[in-house]
Amino acid sequence: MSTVQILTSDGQTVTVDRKVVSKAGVIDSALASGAEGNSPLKLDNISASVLEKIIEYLKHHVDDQPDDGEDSDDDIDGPRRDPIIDTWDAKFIEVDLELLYELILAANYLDIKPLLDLGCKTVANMIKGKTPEEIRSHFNIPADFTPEEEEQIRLENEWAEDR
Amino acid sequence: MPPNQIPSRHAELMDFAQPNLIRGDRSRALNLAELPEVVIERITARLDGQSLAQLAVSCRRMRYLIYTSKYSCDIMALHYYTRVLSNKTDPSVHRPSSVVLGNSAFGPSPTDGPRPRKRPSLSDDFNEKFGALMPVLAPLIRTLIYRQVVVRGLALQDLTPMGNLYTRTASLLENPELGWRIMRPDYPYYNEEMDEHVMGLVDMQNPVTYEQYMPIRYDVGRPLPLALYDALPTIRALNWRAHRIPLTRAALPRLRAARSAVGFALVTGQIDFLAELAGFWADSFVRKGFGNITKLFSTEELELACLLARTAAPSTIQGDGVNIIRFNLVPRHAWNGMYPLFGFNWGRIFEAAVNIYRTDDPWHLRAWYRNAPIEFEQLFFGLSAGMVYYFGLKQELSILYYDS
Repeated sequence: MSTVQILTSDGQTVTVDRKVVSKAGVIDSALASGAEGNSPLKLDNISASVLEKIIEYLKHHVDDQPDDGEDSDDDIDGPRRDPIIDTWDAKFIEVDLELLYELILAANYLDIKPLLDLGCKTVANMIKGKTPEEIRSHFNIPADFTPEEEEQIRLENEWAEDR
Repeated sequence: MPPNQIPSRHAELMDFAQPNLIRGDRSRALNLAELPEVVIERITARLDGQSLAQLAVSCRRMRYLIYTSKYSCDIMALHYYTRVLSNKTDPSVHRPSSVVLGNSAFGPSPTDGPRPRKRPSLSDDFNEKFGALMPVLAPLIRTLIYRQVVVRGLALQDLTPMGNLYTRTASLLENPELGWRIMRPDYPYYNEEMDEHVMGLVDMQNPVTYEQYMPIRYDVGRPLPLALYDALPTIRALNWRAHRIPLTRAALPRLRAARSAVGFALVTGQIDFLAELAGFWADSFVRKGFGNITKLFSTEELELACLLARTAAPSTIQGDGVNIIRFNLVPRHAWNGMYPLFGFNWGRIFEAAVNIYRTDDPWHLRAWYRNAPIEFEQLFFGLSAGMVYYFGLKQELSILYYDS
């Protein structure tokens, strides 16, 4: 079995099945272009813990067929996709917010669209049904409006509130 | 850069390249608004209108990203109109930001507020897809106007570029106290007098003179317009295929006696059935879905479309005590026998529905359409009948027609 060594941002070297890690578009491209050489691939953006989580995901989905463009970057403005999350994926993505963000960022960086979509779906599902205050609190978003702006925005948003 | 180091791929990932994000620096917890724009867009693309509205006011960056996204504004605007229709929001008291409406295809003015950011090329494709629903959604706005505004003006709209139609119709909501206003002051046949007593829609591709356009009130006992006769083959064809009840020339005398669309439907003895059919198909449209349609639009949007199709009379307008349904029957423009019926450009709607059905392959669509199952015809005929039923029973109708 062919393997690949990856050096993570926190200096750890992780050995991964090449077939598994090739599901990440960026790594696949790097391997195809011979970037690996004799040294491990460096991923300055991803820590070992996040990488392990990603590998867990990739291993589970290693035999999945790629989408036929349905989930391409380009349709981001288009159809809203199914909010339902597969059972295994739902369990996998049950992580704290910080790790969730890092998985999303890493998936985006490594070009793993299914994982990116999973993360985005999860966040979107968390947002649904929350008030602006609850959203701020849940997602650690600091309120950066002035009191005047806050009042204006409150009035502006009254149309969406049930009274 | 060493050959074994994977470089950053995109400029938009620069904020990901910030040290605290790269190296998992836990000295400060990330917040949602700090995620890259490309990620936030993927998240907001999965939100409904209500959630978008709430998220948009959580912080400056979210507000910016959502309010400048045409897609998000469309979803919020749809949600707004849905709430208005269901009496959850009073549009005379509360409206979304003009930026939201301005950036939405359904918004009031193309110049109202900053324009959306430049999108990837396929956003145009998205607009095309979304625009396909506009023939169905357009009645929403007219329904709003119908309910809230005393009509005094003239709506001159291009029925072909649906965005135009929708945006311009929606613009009426800007000043509901003014009622309808001229939406195309550059229309060659416009004159001020029209404001006072002319109402209706005009197909700008087939402009008519003011005299031609001038609606004629259909009085009790007056024979039905010739245009209706012209449409009979279409109606008959649909009718026969949908219900196996031939509509023959024997029915014409009774049709002549009919004084309204309701009368027409009653004469044919099918009004209840047709209304039921309309509801059935509208529900099916949502619940069963037609192929990929549920992937393209949310249930909320489809329900809205069906609600509209069921309850709105597209060419029904109200003013000065006169309620009007215009029969904009133009057989010479028949599009596979389904051109304007009850004021709708059914050919366009049919085409739109088919496009919704299989958006991935427009050429396949056309081939598919030619062999379209009978259900589509039933759907649209049923829906049209449902509209007539709805308004027919609730309003004392006059029929106006425009025979080109």
